[in-house]
Amino acid sequence: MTHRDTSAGTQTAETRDEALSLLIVDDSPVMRNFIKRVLRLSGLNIARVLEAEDGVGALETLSREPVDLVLADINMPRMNGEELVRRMEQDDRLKRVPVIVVSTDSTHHRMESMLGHGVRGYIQKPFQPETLRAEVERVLAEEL
Amino acid sequence: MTANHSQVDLRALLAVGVGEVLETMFFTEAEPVDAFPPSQGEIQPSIAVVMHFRGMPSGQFWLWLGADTAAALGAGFLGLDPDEVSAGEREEITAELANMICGAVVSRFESEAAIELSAPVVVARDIDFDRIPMPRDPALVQRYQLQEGRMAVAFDFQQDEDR
Repeated sequence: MTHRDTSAGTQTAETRDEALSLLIVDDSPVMRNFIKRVLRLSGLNIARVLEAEDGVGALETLSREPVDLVLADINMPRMNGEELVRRMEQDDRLKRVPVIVVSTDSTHHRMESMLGHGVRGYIQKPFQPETLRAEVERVLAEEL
Repeated sequence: MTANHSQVDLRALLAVGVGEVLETMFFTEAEPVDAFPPSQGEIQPSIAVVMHFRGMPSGQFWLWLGADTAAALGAGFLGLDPDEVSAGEREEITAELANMICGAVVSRFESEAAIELSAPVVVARDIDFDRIPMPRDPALVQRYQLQEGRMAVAFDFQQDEDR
């Protein structure tokens, strides 16, 4: 789904015709697998789930693969999630790609900072699978 | 954890954080215990993880998990059978569990302040639970009995002048 079809206002992430391409950015392989499993079981129309272990890997992936949504942790080696969204914000090709933060850091300071950089959603670990699904649905619905 | 906080506050925050993480992500519960029953010579291999947090306050968080406990928790988390959870995945599960519990507790110390969490590092593996390394003078050590096995955590705070 690389084009935003404004006529598809009644579609949801589950029913849209074009399958989604998602990127999970987390330095924990087991957390990436958990999120991937939740997304696969969610009923969302997903074509592929890409993975990166930090912000550097995420930018490399985003430079060659169009994605519909990024799910990113904050605390990661090499480049953390805050720097990742800052770089995306400065890149004309990436600044419209919605980002949902999935992090253990639930301080007001961090949440305000991330939302100030254009982050569309913030999920605090631990989270219910349904919370992740609902937040992905909400953010993608805003993109339609 | 400032001078205004007490160990009671920390213990209460820890209880909330541990309960939240285990119930939400691993669908299990932890019962705080003063001590584990004697192992009667049977070795209980475990994994020890330590991570640092910086902010108000700064310090270290330790988590120990029995290797079998890590396999059982990892199985539920990853949708596998316990036998399918590799040694590496046991360590990753232990690290992620530490990350979530530490984050859940530290975020509640001073929710208005900025905190930084380091990546959890495995500092011991395949060591008997009764011989696990401990911080020298921890602010709090708490042991838990889970349906899946044993877990213990500790907080060790830096003094203000050490920051």
